[in-house]
Amino acid sequence: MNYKWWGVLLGGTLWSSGVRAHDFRADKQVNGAKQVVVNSYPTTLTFSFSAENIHPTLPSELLSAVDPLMSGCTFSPSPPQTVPVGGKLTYECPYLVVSREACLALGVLDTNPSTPDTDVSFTNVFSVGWDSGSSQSGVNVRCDPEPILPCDDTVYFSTSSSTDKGLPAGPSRLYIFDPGTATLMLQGESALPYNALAFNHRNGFLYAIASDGVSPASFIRVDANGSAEVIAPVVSGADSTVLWGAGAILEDGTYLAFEISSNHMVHIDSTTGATLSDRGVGTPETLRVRDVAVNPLTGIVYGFNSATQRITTIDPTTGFFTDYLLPSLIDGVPSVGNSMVSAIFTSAGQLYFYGSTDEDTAVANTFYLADLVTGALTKVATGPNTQFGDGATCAFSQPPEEQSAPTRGRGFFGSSEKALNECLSQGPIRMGGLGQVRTVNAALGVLWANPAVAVDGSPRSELERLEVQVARELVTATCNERFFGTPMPENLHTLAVFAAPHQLLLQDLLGQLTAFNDSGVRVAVPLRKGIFSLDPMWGLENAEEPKF
Amino acid sequence: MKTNVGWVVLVGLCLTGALGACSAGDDDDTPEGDKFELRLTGRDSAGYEQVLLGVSRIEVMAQGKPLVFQLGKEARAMELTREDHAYLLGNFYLPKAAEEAEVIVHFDDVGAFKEAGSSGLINARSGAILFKSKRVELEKRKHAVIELHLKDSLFQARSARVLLPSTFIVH
Repeated sequence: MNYKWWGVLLGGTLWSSGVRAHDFRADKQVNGAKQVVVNSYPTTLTFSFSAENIHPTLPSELLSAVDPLMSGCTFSPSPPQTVPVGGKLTYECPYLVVSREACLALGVLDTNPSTPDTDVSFTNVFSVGWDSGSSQSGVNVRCDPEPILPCDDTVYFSTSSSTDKGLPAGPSRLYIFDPGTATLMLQGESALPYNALAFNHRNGFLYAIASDGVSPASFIRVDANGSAEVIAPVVSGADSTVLWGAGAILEDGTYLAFEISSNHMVHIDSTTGATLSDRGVGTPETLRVRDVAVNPLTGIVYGFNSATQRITTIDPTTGFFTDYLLPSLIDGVPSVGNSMVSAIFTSAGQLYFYGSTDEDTAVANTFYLADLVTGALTKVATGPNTQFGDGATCAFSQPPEEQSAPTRGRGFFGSSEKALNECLSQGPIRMGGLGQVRTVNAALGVLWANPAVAVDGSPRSELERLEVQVARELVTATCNERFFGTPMPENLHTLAVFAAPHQLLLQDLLGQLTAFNDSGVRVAVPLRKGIFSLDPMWGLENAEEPKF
Repeated sequence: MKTNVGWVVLVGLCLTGALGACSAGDDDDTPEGDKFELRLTGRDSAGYEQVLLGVSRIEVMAQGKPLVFQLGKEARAMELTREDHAYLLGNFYLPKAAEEAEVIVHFDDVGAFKEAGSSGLINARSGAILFKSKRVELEKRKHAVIELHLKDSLFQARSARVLLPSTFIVH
């Protein structure tokens, strides 16, 4: 007998599929989704509940349908109900959220111990029961104070649908692109097909041009929910039905757009929509730029010229454009046939593109960092395929007193070798009575430590649980301070250097540290920090269990 | 942050020693009542190579009172694409007079997943699983098993996938 395998057989119970006798499946949604954000009040949320009979051959009897948080919802027809094979009972309940305070109050009553927090105001769980089992399904609701488009390194991205003739069509969807996970998060949509997206730092709105190749183009304003409002028709010497694809906001808050078939560049007053100037810039053979962005440090407009495969600069006043001397290299290889549908500048003066690759020039799915000296591009992330895509960010930063400071949770530092190395390069993390963290692996051990069970399998006492939680949050807070430069409240420095762990002190400290670490999670990670991937598996594989 | 009052009472009792050790103990510490296992297994994991979650706390109540829960070592780290294995979260002892147990499983707030070509974080802060089990059901096989349907439980949010459990409870 191989004793190693004997141990595995003793230690684990193989799960038999013979007892999988469940008859119903619960599903719950709010406004047709699993997660929603509310930012205007009062508002009515529509919760939908369903109990589907999934027994392959027999009717099933639903005995209970319960939603403890939505006590005002009535389930009609009320259980018990017999549901035929393949049948489904569906319930719907409109719920009026009168104010943000009322929404947050629900978070105190739900089953989620952390709500209301920065991510979720309340969690709502629907449960159905039958004679031999039950099934649950939940949704998250977040209630924000008001719709805000943050002016930081948040990358906004829009896409449009397509007609069968390949022209843009509604709806257009507004997303936030997260470079760390290379994912697009939907913010909302508009019936207008728009492009040439740009962020106006003067008022916190996005601006764009709606054009579908059939009807005359309109200059529009887009809000945080993705809703679009027409400001004025676009007046230019270009045909009224051309497809405007490139747009940027200048430092004075005016809007600049470029169109690649007519090569018109139009300068628009973003308040009135009036055309301030309209001129031809290059020809389709010499200049094809699908998006433009303004360098906030120089005021010069940049784009990727797909006619020459070079970065190009445009003087917004004269319309004079200048290509970089050499074609762009992408990771050292000459760019061939590429287009960059999105160009964004950060307030630190870094230029990024979202566009195609040499491997597939027809698909825009890659995020690039541009070298402003050489014109070379470096792939930093591969994201989703996009259609009629365009990007924008707030290039002109707010005054320091109006800027929000970023923070991230322990998962971020436990998944980013770059961030954790930079944090620990500034010295050990002193945790008072809990010891010190000197190495990356020790920090990972703290960040990934389970508060309930130690690595040897022994359950932790309540004091040990608190020690783990405090240590995790203290390492995280220290790294937030060191990596992002977000200062920890001064009293936390003092509190953290306690001599002997004491339950009440630890509880207080845990609350303050968690509040600090949560304080800036909605602020974008500055792109200049170069966090373009998170790998929790790296963190878990290298974690060394701490000894407190 | 809210706290279950019953849990606080239990913790207080543990700390003052009134119940002795509140963790897995020897025979002298065995609570009164009938012993039942609580297990958890993953389902519908297609597309995932790994889904890693840990438990941070488990509360079991009966007749309005918290029961002692002996946390198992497997609760620390579970790889839930292993659909042939039901992880033993621990044991509880249902008093003879109790006809029903109310269970809340709180996950540790951060987990991880791996799928083709990439890995990422799971935000499990919202991931509490709450259910009731009748004694008559528990007695069939001396356990309650939570089936967590991964495909319908993990949803992309900014910087992480959020855990919103879609579960079946089987006995």
